[in-house]
Amino acid sequence: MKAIGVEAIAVSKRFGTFRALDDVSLKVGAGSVHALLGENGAGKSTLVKCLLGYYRADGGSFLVDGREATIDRPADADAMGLGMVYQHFTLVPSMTVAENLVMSRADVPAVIDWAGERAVIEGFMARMPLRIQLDVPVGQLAAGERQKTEILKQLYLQRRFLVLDEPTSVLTPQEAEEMLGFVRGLTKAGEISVVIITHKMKEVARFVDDLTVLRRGRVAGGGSARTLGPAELTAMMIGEPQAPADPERRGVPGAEPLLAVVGLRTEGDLGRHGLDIAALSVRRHEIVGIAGVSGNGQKELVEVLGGQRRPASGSVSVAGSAYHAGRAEAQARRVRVLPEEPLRNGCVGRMSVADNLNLRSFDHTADGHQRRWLDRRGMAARAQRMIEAFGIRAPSPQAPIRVLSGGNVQRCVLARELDGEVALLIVANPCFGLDVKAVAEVRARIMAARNTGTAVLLVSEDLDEILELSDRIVVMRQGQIVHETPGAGADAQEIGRHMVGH
Amino acid sequence: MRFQRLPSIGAGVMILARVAAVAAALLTGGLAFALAGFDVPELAGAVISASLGTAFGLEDLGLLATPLILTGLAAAVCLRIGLWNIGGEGQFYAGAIIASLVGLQLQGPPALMLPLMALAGFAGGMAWILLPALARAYLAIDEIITTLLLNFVAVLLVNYLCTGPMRDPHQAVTAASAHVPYEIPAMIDDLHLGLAVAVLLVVLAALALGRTGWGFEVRVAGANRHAANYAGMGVRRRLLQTMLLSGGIAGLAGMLEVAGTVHRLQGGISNNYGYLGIIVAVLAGGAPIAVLPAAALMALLLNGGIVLQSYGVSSYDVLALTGLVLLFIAVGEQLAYYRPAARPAIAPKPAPPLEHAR
Repeated sequence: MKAIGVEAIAVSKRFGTFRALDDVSLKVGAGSVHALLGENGAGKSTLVKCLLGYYRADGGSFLVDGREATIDRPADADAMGLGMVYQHFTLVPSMTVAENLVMSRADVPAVIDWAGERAVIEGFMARMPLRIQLDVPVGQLAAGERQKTEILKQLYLQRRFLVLDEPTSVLTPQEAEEMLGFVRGLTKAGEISVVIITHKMKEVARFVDDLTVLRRGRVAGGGSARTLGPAELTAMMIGEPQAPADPERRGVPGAEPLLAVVGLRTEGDLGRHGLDIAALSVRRHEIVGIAGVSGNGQKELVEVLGGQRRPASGSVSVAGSAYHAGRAEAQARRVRVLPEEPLRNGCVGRMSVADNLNLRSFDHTADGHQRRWLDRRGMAARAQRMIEAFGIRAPSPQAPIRVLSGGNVQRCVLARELDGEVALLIVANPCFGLDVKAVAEVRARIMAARNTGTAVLLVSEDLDEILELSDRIVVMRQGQIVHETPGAGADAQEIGRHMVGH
Repeated sequence: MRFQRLPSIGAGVMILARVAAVAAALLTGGLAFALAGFDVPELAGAVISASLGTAFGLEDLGLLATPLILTGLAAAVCLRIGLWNIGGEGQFYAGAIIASLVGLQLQGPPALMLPLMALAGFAGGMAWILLPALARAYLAIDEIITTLLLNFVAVLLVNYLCTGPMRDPHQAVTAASAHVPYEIPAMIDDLHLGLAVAVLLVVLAALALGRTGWGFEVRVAGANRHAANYAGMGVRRRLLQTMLLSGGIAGLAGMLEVAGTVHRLQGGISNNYGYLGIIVAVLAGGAPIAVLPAAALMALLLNGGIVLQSYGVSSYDVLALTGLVLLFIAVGEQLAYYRPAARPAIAPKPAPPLEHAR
């Protein structure tokens, strides 16, 4: 058997006075799939980073393949065949998939025989159930395709023990199934052992042998995945017997469309399909979910509606009159956008939490008058109010926003965008990388906005999220809308078929 | 001993790191001088007493600091929107040319002519950065290259003008324009009002960048262009405005040098102020107010260089010293993020000897 077992014994890690890990033990049998569950900040990342040599544990030890191992630096883990697929992408955007694969090796020769390498990679790819174009720069791949490339890279590097950090968060149900089935097949064949960090209970039930739940740096429970149900797991994770209740749906969609998109077309980027939307509308008191495999025009649509991309033709209107998504217009018409990857697209990482919370409102007064001088005191008060209302956990309002956790960054963006009355809210992948509690909170906020009469356009790669929140669901493929169905009683398999086009 | 990198550090630590870097650079330079056989304490004493010990020395310091404050501010303003204006030297010359032309060609009362010359200098600097600014805003052409290359054009242009069309026919030897008849009034003895103008501009720029909505947009656009676009800020317009402002400030420095100190247009009038301004801006961490102490330090180094030459130290050594300062600051800026890792609370289990041998 090529796969190796890994065991962590009584591992502890402190950051200053904060105990990130406290006496945590974990045993991953050779050729098994072990799930690591827990909220963000529970210590999952810290544990696997210790295991992979990015942190050095303060106490405890690791056994690799039954022998005590000293893992002081990533190269040590590498030499033992331990690898990880990160939630954040680690590929070089300007290099092609093939170049990324070759460059990721520890033994890249000084002069690369590209023809030879190509043959090896093509032979390797032929055995893979995932298809990726080898000559496309990674930067042009959609998030889902990039994630697949990350996993392929680890397999190409012949890792024998792999940590997958939320590997399916950007995949369609079919792709996720395919990918996890593939991973499962590899473990069954004794090729690799896997630790999978996930929030999805369905994946745990279907693809996992054993699991460990962490809560606040300690082991909260664990055992065989066969015997533990979703309710028990959620209870272990958040330490409360029940998960937050599903948000209630109040108010019926209006008759008139608030957002109406007609005949919208954009130029495609570099061989990709542009947008070609005949008609799309969203009404007040309505959430319209846009499902689709990433890279099928969702990003472009959000950019057009957010004013970051110009349409080649077609019209967008809000509340009956034409809308061009300028700053003043967005403010006057109360249109707000929650972009995906909020830290990159909707925040200024170097600037403070308070400045980021005022990114929309810094230059006008509460009653809409233009303001030339910044009102520092008013900005601080406003930030404080949002921090309290949305339970944002930050070291201080003056701390740079990039030091916050993903959940807290998203809380900041939500607090800023949902401030005041909102007529139209455009949301892209709002829960990507958030933990169970934060996901429930973010979804409840979106539902609450809908209930107060906001028209919501929800673009998400998480089909469960679309099914949970949407009043109406449309499917996008290759820039077009190919399917539409009411949210109530929608069939996930049917939607999935339209997403992939057969 | 292991170190860990902190995600963020306070402003106080950052300032401390700069002060420590400057001290370390001066110590390293001092060591080199000592190895070359100089009496370092004596040299240091001479520099300090000549620069800070006499009214005359302090005035010289003020005269040197004036252009450095402005060229430093020009580079710092551009850094706020995330761009490098390496062309302060060229904009300085362009400002000096236009201001001299106005001063030589037009006649009027000094109270009118001096503001007019200042405006002309500002406009000259703006004109010199206009092409790089447009190329940056509309074609995303790297401003570092374009602003740098235009410096050489400006130097040659000044040399041409001073040996050709603008040459003073009464001066047979030096290549310089005729005497510009309008002089900036003095504050104290030789120290002209230019220093006050420079300080005032620093305060205005700090207010504009730190306290206005315009400055907020500039900073957002500089730190994350995606977010600025997303918030609907006119990034291109802010970029053009900021670059033109930067060029104008460097041009004004050229005008002050003509009307305040040299009173002629001549080759080498800039004395590398444009390039030194970049060091000043980096030293100041791009913060406008911090340009004042940074420019003062740079002026002290330059003035020290002049003093040192009388002790047989080459003028290139002082240039090397400013390079050391820049190098140490760049290193210190990164080191400031590192702290010794906390001691393990529990000693790690000793691994078996076999594993140790691996």
